[in-house]
Amino acid sequence: MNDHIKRDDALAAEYALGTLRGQARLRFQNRMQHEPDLAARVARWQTMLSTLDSHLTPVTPPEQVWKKIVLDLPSPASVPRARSWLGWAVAAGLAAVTLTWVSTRAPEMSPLVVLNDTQQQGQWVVNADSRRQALSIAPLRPTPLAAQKSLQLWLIPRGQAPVSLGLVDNRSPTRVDLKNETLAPDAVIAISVEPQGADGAGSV
Amino acid sequence: MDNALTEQQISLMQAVAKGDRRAFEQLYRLTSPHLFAVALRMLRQRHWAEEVLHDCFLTVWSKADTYNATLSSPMTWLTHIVRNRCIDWLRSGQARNARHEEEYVDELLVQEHDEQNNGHDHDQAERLRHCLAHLSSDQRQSIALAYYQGMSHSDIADWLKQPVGSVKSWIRRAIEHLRECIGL
Repeated sequence: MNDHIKRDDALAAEYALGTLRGQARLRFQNRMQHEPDLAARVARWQTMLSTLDSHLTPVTPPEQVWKKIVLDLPSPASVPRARSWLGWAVAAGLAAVTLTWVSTRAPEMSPLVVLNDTQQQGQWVVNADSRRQALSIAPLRPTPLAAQKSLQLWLIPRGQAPVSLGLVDNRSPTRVDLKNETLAPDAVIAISVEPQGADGAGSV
Repeated sequence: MDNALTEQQISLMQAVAKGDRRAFEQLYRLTSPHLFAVALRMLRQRHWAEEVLHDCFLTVWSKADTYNATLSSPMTWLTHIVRNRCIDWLRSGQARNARHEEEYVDELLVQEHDEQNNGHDHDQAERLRHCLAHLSSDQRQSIALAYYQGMSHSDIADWLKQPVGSVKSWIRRAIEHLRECIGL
């Protein structure tokens, strides 16, 4: 084990142990997403340390914990049942944000909504033109993206299946023509992480 | 390891990743008693542990597809989510005054007759216990406080009334020893 690997392994151990904190912890988490070797090191330490819990006596949580979890799950009514939809909805890890309509009088692009991912790593500003016929998706921070993955933009009209709006560049603004799609005020815009080459053009 | 149990949990994780709510409930029933115990041990307040468990299972629902069965067992993955959330909770400061006066070192060396069936590898557990027994008591106590109580370097330093630098080097050396002893 050379010094570099030893240092990474020590970080992996402290991460698994919980003593790696603050910015260092966030930086490390970020690296793990891109470096499978590092993720594997962490997993080995986690597996080893979790044996420390083997003598722990299980405690059944009160039933209301489960009931509250069920209540807080995304409503099945708003989620079409198509398998592919569920696949990407879960795969996303990116929060979809309901569009609250912002009046856009100026002819140029105006900010419409900001998309955040659940880990606060990526952030996009979604701009729309005044006629709501084009969108521009600009990354505020480059989104860490594993190799062989790409970002796909979706429009989800309320109660309907999501419609792919094509791929989004994770480093520079992407302009998207809405063509036949309408941006209804209650539509949802979402970005998902997809395997490269899996552009599900059209509806899914 | 109880392979059948782990295999069952892996299938459930895969079903949850596809949005299967029944599988999600089954996974919850199977794993929440252990995870609740982990959260209770770290937070020592029932209602905090309940909130953490709630948050964690919502995370599990949305992130089940990121689980990689070749890296770790579902229980290890789930435990990590719970521990991470507990650490965030503890860092928020409201839990700082709720710690109990206890001797944690013995917890690390608990013998196997107390073993519960949580799907952990018995041999690995034995090996780790064996290796922990060779640490100095300062090193062992620091590892125990970090793992069981979710304490940071400075929390441990406060607790043991020792300089932070000493705690850091105890943990660093403990990790080096464990790596060699266990053969990671």
